[in-house]
Amino acid sequence: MIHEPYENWILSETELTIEEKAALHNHLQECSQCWKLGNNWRNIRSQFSIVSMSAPADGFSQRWKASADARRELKMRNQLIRLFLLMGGMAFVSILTLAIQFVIVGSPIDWVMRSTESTLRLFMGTAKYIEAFASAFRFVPPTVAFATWGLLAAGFSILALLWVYMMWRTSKGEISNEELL
Amino acid sequence: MTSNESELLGLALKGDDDAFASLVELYQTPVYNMCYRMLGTPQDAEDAAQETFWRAYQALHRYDRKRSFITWVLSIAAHYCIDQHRRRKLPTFALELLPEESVPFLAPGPENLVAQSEEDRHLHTLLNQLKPQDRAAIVLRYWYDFSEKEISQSLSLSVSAVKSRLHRARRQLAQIVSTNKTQSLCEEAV
Repeated sequence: MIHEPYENWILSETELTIEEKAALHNHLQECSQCWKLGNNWRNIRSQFSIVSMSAPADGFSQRWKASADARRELKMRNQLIRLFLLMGGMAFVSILTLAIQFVIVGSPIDWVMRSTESTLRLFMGTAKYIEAFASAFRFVPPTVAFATWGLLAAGFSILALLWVYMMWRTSKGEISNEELL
Repeated sequence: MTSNESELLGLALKGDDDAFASLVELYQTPVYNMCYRMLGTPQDAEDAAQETFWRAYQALHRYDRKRSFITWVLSIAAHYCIDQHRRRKLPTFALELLPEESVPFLAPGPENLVAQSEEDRHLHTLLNQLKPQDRAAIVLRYWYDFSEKEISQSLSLSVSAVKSRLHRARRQLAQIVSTNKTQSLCEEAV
């Protein structure tokens, strides 16, 4: 037996014309297969209308809040790690480039000698500057020297406090990812 | 959408986390229900609903205010659940596990809770036989009264694809019930 278009009409949700309804009615009296299909579908359809929406267990939004906080923290941590890795990677690449350049330009012995020489120069230069700075302090009145040291100490203390404050805000999650980057 | 919902949405779009948490409170049931109908267990539904809201929170700047918020969130939930099915390839119930007879109509009410949970279980077993996208289309159509156009927008399908999916799913559901009845009659005869 041909079940088209009756099967479509049974399962369709569009309104049938009077002629279509009559044709379907006649077909259903002859075809037990389509009659069963229609009956089963009506049954399921009625079940859809009586089964209500399932609700989650109490405290869903609180659980969401807690989970969102944890995810935000994890995201921030991951971004910090990525930033750290990026900077570390850049430093590594720079050092590697310099090392390659040194190797290409001269022999390893030259390289060691040059780096030792530059390190010694740096130390000697720093020592000179410290000596010049200290000698300048010998000529200024003791109150000015005391005030300079005081200003320096205050500056460093403010920087340290600022650092502690930033760390505290980061741990509380008050700093956005955009601010950090 | 009521003015309060619209206000909450406006605040959430400006970055107010508490306003978004209020939206979660407001829409938790429809989203959870979608996930529950799609995945079948309360634990999976809870996880999927939490994930849906997190994804919505992260993509909030991409939300088009001309569209209904709940439609948008349900679309995220449906896509997530379909993906979960693809990843896990959840086992489907065997036809033999279907209940022997379809449960007669019962008016909802506290006295019928047990019977309703039975209905619920029966529907779950039937829905589990469908492909994830067909199931999503059926859930959106019969639990949320979505039109074919809304379903097509939610599932990123054409309207004709939704029509054919719904038709296929309805026929499949009716045939499953029919098969089940025949099997139970055979078992009784044996």
